[in-house]
This record gives sequence, C-alpha cells and structure tokens, in this order.
Amino acid sequence: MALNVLIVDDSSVMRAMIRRTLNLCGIPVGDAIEAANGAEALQQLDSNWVDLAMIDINMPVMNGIELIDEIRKNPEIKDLPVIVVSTESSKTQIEILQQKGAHFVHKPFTPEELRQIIVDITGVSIGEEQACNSIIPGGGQDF
Amino acid sequence: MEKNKLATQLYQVAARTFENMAFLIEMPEMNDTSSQVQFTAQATVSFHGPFCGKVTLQVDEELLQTLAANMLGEMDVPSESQQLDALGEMTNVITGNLLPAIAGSEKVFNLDAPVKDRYIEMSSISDSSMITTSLTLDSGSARIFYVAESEGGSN
Repeated sequence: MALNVLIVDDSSVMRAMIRRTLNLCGIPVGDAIEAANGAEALQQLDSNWVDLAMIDINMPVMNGIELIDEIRKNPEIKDLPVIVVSTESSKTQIEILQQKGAHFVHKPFTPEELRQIIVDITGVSIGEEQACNSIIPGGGQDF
Repeated sequence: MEKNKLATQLYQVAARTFENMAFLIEMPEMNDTSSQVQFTAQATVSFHGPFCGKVTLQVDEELLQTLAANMLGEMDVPSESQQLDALGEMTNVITGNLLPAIAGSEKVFNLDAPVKDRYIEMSSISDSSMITTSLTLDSGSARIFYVAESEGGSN
C-alpha cells in the first residue's frame, strides 16, 4: 500500500529533504502533498486523502500545534497519524504533542529514524530492503 | 554561563548541524583563514522564553550554494530563493539545538521565523555580550553569532 503523505513545513528546502528521504528509504509514497503552514495543510486535507501528516511546529499563519488541534477536532481526520518533525527540544512541549497523539522526530533526523517511526505507526511494509545509506554516495548520513 | 563554554557549545552544535543536514565537514586546521572570508548572506532566528536573544548565521557564497544543493540533493546550483531558504532552515536548526544545550531540556522557547538577508550590516549585530564562532567547512566558511538580549522574555 502506498501512503499519501502531507508534508507541512514553511521551508521548501526542508519539505524537499523529507520527500527525498521518504523516496530513497523505500517508503512506498503515493502522493506527496506539500503545505507551507497549518492553514494550507487544512485546505489540502479537505481535498485530498492523506494517510500520514508530517508537521513542523514553528510556522507562520497557523503553527503545527494549532494544526494538530484542528485535525483532532475534525471527525473525518481525527485519527490521522501525525509525525512532528521539528527542532523542538523541550520535554514539556514534546509531552504536550504526545498527548495530542503525535509522534516526534527531532531535526536533524536520520533517514533510519524517519523510516522506523513511519513503519511503526502506519504498519506500511517496505517492499525491498533498501538501505537508507544509499542516499548519499559514499555512505549513510543524518539529515 | 561563561563565554568560552558558550562559544564551544555554539561551535559544536553548528558543526554537527552542518554535517547532519548538509554533509559538510568542518576543517578546523583551516579556521585561521576566516578573517579573509567575504560573507555574503545571513539568516537570523530570534528566540523568546526564559530569556530572549538571537542567533545569526553568516556564510560565504560558496557555502551558500553548496548548502542548498546538498540539502536538496541536487547537482545544479539551486535558485537564490532556495539558497536563502536553506540558510534560514540551517539557522533554525542550530538555534533549536543550541538552546537546550544552554538552558536545559525542560525550558520552553519559541523561535521566530528566520530573517534572511543578502546584505550584511555588521553594526546591526555588534554587541558586547555577543558570542561568536567561525567554522571552515569543506565547501566554504561560516560565522555564527549568539546574543542573549534579556532575561524573562515573552513566551
């Protein structure tokens, strides 16, 4: 099963990095939909079927926490798996996110971390054992 | 916290972030050339929490281009917009990783969006309490400034 993934980050470069990591780590991605803030993400969720949302916290217009709150309030998408991809390091903030049913990946992240958490929460099967360290010629790296 | 310890933390966090995000390796043996470098772009992230301040990252032209290309995984030179976006994201990640190293992981800080600029005005970031560190990487040079402006800012 290919996952439709919504990537929400105000940095277009970071969105591209996440998309590339997903592809090269063997995660079966159907549509990779992008949004630059929470409000754009809600519009995308309104018009697309999404299996997984990857959300930054600090964004203009509507931040990641507000977006997660909106998702959890909407009966149609309240159970959407959410991974927060952020520089946030405060244990207090991370606990708040976890209470909202979000999983957390800290920037900079390794491709392996990203792949493992996606496999864990979506149950998606990786078709072939593709090593994440093939992303960069010469060996594995963090992102 | 004493200035030398802060400078060491700033250097270590920045070096690790450049390596992890953009596969750029520090070359400390070449650090003495940093005074000759012409920095052509900068990004600043302001933070608010138990104390307020900002982190500014300046890079030379070679590093600006390589940074974005490596983060995007592209061989071609990325657009100006992508270059500045990559610089802003790098500054954001450095700031986000520096603050818990300084203040501990229990403290909550809010980070503003990066302010990116092609024109570097040195007087705008001159401050006696500023901590500065320089990095020479395998594809260019960077200079990072950290300043804590006040205690007990808004959250």
